[in-house]
Order: sequence, then C-alpha cells, then structure tokens
Amino acid sequence: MRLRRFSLVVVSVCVLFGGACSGSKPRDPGTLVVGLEANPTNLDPRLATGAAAVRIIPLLFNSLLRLDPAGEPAPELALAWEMPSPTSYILHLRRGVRFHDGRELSAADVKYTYEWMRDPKNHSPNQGALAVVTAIETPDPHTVRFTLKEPFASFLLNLTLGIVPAHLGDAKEFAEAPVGSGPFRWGEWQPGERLVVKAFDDSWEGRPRLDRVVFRILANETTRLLEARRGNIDLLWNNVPPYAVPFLRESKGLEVTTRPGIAYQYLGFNLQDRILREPRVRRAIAHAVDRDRIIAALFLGLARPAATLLAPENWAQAKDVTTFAHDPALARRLLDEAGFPVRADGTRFSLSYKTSTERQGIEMADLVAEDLAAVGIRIERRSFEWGTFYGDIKAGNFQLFSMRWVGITDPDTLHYVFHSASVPPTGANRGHYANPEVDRLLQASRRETNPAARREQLAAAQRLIAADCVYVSLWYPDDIFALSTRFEGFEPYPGGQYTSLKKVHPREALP
Amino acid sequence: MTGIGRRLLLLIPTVLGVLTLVFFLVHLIPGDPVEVMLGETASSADLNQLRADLGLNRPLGEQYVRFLGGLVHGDLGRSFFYRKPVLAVIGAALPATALLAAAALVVALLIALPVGVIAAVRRDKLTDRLALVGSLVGVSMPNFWLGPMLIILFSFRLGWLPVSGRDGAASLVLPAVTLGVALSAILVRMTRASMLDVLGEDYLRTARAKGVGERTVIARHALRNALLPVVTIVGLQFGALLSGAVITENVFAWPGVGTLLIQAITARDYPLVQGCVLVISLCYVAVNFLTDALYTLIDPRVRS
Repeated sequence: MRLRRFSLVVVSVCVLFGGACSGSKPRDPGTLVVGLEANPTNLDPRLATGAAAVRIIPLLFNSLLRLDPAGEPAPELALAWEMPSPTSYILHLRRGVRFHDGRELSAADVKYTYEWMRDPKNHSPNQGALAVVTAIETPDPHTVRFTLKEPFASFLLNLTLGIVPAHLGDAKEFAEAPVGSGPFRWGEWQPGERLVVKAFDDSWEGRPRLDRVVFRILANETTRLLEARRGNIDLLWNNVPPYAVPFLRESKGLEVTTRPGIAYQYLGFNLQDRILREPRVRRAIAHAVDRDRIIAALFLGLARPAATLLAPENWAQAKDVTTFAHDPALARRLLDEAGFPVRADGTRFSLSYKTSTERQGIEMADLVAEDLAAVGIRIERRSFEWGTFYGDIKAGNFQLFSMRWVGITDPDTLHYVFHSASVPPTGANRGHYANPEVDRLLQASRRETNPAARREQLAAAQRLIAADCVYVSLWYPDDIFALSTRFEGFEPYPGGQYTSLKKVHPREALP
Repeated sequence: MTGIGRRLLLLIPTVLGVLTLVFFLVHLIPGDPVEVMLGETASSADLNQLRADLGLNRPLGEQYVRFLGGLVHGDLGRSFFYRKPVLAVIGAALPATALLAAAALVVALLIALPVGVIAAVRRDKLTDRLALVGSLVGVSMPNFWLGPMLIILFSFRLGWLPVSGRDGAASLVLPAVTLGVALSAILVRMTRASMLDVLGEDYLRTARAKGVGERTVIARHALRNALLPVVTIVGLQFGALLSGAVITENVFAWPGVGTLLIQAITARDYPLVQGCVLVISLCYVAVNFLTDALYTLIDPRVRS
C-alpha cells in the first residue's frame, strides 16, 4: 500500500518534469535580459553602495548632471550651471520633468535629496563627499544653489547622484519600489534572483525603445557564460573574463565587443615595510614584472600597459611619467645596491602577496611571482575571501597586494589615493605614502579653477608618484561586453553603468 | 512519548550552542560592515556614529546578550544591507531552499531505494558491482563540478532543460539531481547493506514458505524492515544536503538561503549571516527530531 503510494509520487513527479521540458518559450522582442554577477541590495540612490546598484540606478533616477561616456559631466536635470564665485554653484533645472508617479520634479526635490544625504542620522554613504557643502537654496522652483565651505574643483561630480521625490522619499518602503524620473520605472524585484524595470512612457527623454529590462543575478561565472552562450542572456557587460571571449564569439547570436578600458590594475606596496620602504627595491620589482607576458597570457592581449592611475582618455593624465620596462638584469643590480644580495638558498628575501579568492587575481599573482623569482624574490601568495582581504588592505596589514581602480574619471582621486592625509579610514593611501611636494600639488589642484594650471599641478604630482614607485602600474584591462545580435545601440560607460540601455533597441528586421 | 519529550528538551542546548558559536565566529572574521555600508569617503565620526546606532561599538558580550534577548521575542534584528528585518529577508528565500532540498531528497530516494534493493537481491552479481562502483563515483563528485557538467550535457548540448534560474518545474531538475546524487550514493550502500541483513532473516523464509510471491516478500517484508537505518542516515545526511544546497544554489542561480548566506558573508551583514545559519541549523535539528519521531511510526518496537 505504502509502496503503491510511493510509486504514484514517482510517476507524478516524472510527468511534471517531462511536461515542463518540452520546448523553450519564444523570447519577447522588447525585453532585454542582462546577466549580473552580484545582487543589487539597495537601489535607493541615497544609500546604494554596491557596484551592481550604482550601475542600475541611472536607469531609474535622473541626476542634476551625468557623466557622458567619456566621463565628463553633461547636463541632465540641470540644463546649465554657473559659478558666480569659486564656492558657489547655481544650476538651472529642466522644466516638465515628471517622476514615475506623475508628479513634476522641482528644485525642492533636489534640495530634499541632498539634505537627506547630509543628515548624519540617515547614514548615507555620500555624506562624507558632501561635507564640503554648507548650504543648499532654492530661489525658485527651477533653480538650485549650492554653497561650499571652500573651493572644490571636482564638486560637479557630486551632482551626479540620483534625485528622489520629496513626497515619497521618507516612506519606509521606498527602497522596495523606488520612484524616480529616469527612463525606466520599477517593475518587480526578487532579491537574489531578478530585477525587472519597465519603460517609462512619460520620460522627458522620450519613451525607451525597450519595453522591459530584466536583470538576472548569476553569481557563478560558468553559469553566466553558459546562459549567454545558450542565448538566454542578451547583455553581459564588465563581467566577461578575457578567457571567455573566444567561447562567446563562437555563438552566432552574440556580438562580443572589446575596447580600451580605464580600469587600472596595480601592485600596491606597504611603504612602512622594512624591505619595501627602500625605493630601489620597489623599482627593482617594477622592472622585474613582465607586463607584456602577463597581458598576453592572462588577458589574451586584451589590456594596455599602464604608467599612471589615470587612463590616456583622461584629460589630466600625465604623458611623461617614469616607466619601468621589463629588465631583470637592472632589477638584480638595484637589489644588490639596496643591500639585498642573493643568499645561500638562491633568494634575496620573501614577500607576502595578498589577493582575493577571485580566480584572475590568483593567476596573476602566480605570474608575478614567477617574474620576481627570476630576480631572487620569493613570493608567498595568500588569497583571502574578499571582505577579509579588503579589511587587511585597509588596515595596512600587507606587504604586496594587487587591486584595481575602476571607473576613475575624477583626477581628484589622486588626492584620495596618494595624499599623506588620505590614509585609511579617511582615504585610500593604504601604503602610507608621504611626499610633501605631492601633498602640496594635490591640495592646490583642488582649489585651482584655471583648468590649464590644474592640469599642470596634477601632471607634476603624477610624475613624482611614478618616480617614487608607490605602485607598480600594471595595465588597463579592456572593457568587454557581449550583446545579443537581436539588439543594437549599447554604449559602455566608464563606470560600468547601464545608462545607454535607454537607447538600445531591437535590430531592424533584415529585408 | 517521554522519549520524544526528552529529545525536544535536548534541542534547546543544541540550538543555543549553535547560536553562540555562530555569533562569535561571525564577529571574529576580519572586515567591517560599517565601512562597507558608508563607502570609501566616510569620515571616522560617521563610522563611529553608525557603529553606535547598530550597537556594534558595545562589548561583544553585551551584543551577544542583546542578540539572545531579541531572539526570545522572535526578533533576529535588521539586515544591514537590505535594511529590512532579517526574518522577512530569509522568509522570502526559505521556500526555494526547502523546495530544492525536498526535490533532492526525492531524487536521492528514487535512485537509492530501487538500486540498493536490486544490488542486495543480486548480491555479488554484475548488477551489484555496477551499483557499488556507481555509488562510489556518485559520492566522489563535488556539487560545484557535477552541476556545470549536467548543465553542459542537458542544457547546452541536448537543450532539454534550462541552464539556471527558477522558472517552472523543469528548472528544478538539474539542481535537484546535482544535490541529490551524493546523498543517493550513500543511501544505495546503506539500503544494500541493510537489505542484506534482513534477507537472511527467518521470517522471510516463513513468508516464502507460505507461498507469498517474491516481489511481495522483498517489497513488503524485507524493505520495510531494511528502511530503518536508511531513514536514520537520511536524517544525519540532511546537514550535508543543506550545506550542499549553498553551493548548488550558487551554480544554478537558485534564489534560496544559500545564495543569501554567501551574499551576507561577503557584505559582513552580521544579523543576516546569523539568521541564515540559525535557520539552516534549525532545519537540521528539526529533521533529526522528525527522523526520531518517524522511527516510532515505522518500527512499533521503538514505541515501547
């Protein structure tokens, strides 16, 4: 009796599965599916921190200014801006912009959003960046004035944060169904699974040509690539490893595009370390690393060698900094001079090299270790789960590590990374670099309103930083994206934002 | 019944032990949720303010007491990153994991019971040997390898099943098989061994002598008695099933507690990590309790 009931279950399970197996559903031409590698936890632009959320937010929210694909501030909600003084910014808002609920966006919403982020009790991650603001005024419904404590040349970049409607922003459930004025409005959200946004008919930019965008969260890289190859994902952006490019290119339904990127990969030194505080040792390491070999092996050639944190596309990049060509003989000589001769065991000294558990980072560490072994430096590679790794780096608990700066368009990042006052937790000077002249130049560049003079200050700082060999500048990996041939019009933004999905449309049917 | 009552009481120290361990382990891992939440540009004053608001600046012992206090009221705290009650976040993910675990169990039993019985009946014959080798292979394949292999074969080459995600019954097949195979391998051996013990019993000879058909002898008289140790193993292996679910969910983008747990650990979302581990261990404890209870149903001798 019991057994018969059991076999009944077996049969019904088989029927259920069998029935569901037959054929796959035809895809809706107006729906584009994006494969995400991480779950966006909070899509409220005032609170969002993770990269996944920051990339999606421009679809749901407008900001006063936005960064164009070149990384320059361009008008969005603000049609024009002026600076009556170095500490005052006046922005004139576009008229007739509506939130997804139909209400018109006004200067009051802008003020509300920024005041909310400045309020310490709200714990906004943008609070620190807005500390320079002393007042926000709205002389009329279409004008906003920001007053600053002191001149801050990169202030415009703080105006690229999404604007939230004042009448809804305090609602507890706002983050669960955010309302903005962006080209797409909220659809549905299954945390950890999928996020759906729908075309906003009354967008001031005109209705997007896609009806829906579905973001599927696929944390496992293999799964993500197989889904794309199988045709279930229409767009992978910034999460295609170079090794997978040939694999995806075998698919007729996908077009894989690679183009020079601005992410900057580097090898960081702890300058307080007994061995690494010696500049000749750092230069020797820089000369020992064979960038071309690693770019060919690990990136299949899809990266450009780097010499400074700012990519060649950046207006502030210094073109004439010290570079360190691959030269093991010179590296050995420098190490001898620095007082680290080869010992009986064939090595000069050992260094620990920390990395996350990310596969590419581990492989890269092994290749760097080979190069350094050739000049007598033994590397102990130690890989940690991301949070532990990052915590160690910020705490200065490392000798060597490698990381990337992603989406850097603001040259003030140099201040954040190399100024002696920017040691964690204030900034990201994790190696404790201190050069008074660099400090002076970077500080001056913040207040400099003449672009040419500012460029020269920033270039001088970059020259000093390169000569001091604070980082080993490695390369700028290419941006890689795979788009279904059913669509066209995608344009990659330097910060990895999906902004251009508002222009993507189904490819016109061939005659 | 006193047996069951005693077991219920024993659950309390077990769960308390798990909670204590989880609480301290989670707080011991390096990394700071506050820095992740406030981003790179936060001042140390802001960081301290948020630490105070979340109670993270208090001595660990005090945090622990507060954590237990909240628990008594059914409050697991609020997720740092979702900014919602932990219970609500986990509640949304739990059904997916429960479905996956149940389906994996069904898969495991569907494979293990017939194979184990046949192997025992044909002891030392080719079928038996094949079954044993098969179970060795099954138990040796890790989830993170088997999952992608099944995807490549059934979704990629053959196109029969979806690659990943949760979309209808078909999408459950591969994750359930991936998760169920290792368990089934263990159960095949258990069923076979247990059946062999039973097959030599006198009461089977009696049944056959009375003229009962061989199928009925095996299915009704032998299997029922052989099931007892199998049920125990299912209960004990349920923990392995749940930890396997964490990996399987990652491979198949299955939106369950395992996926949530990985996210929570990465983000150092302490309350959410604690909540996930609590729920997983409660499931384990509950299943083992049910196993014991089930014993009394299957075997009347245990009742006395």
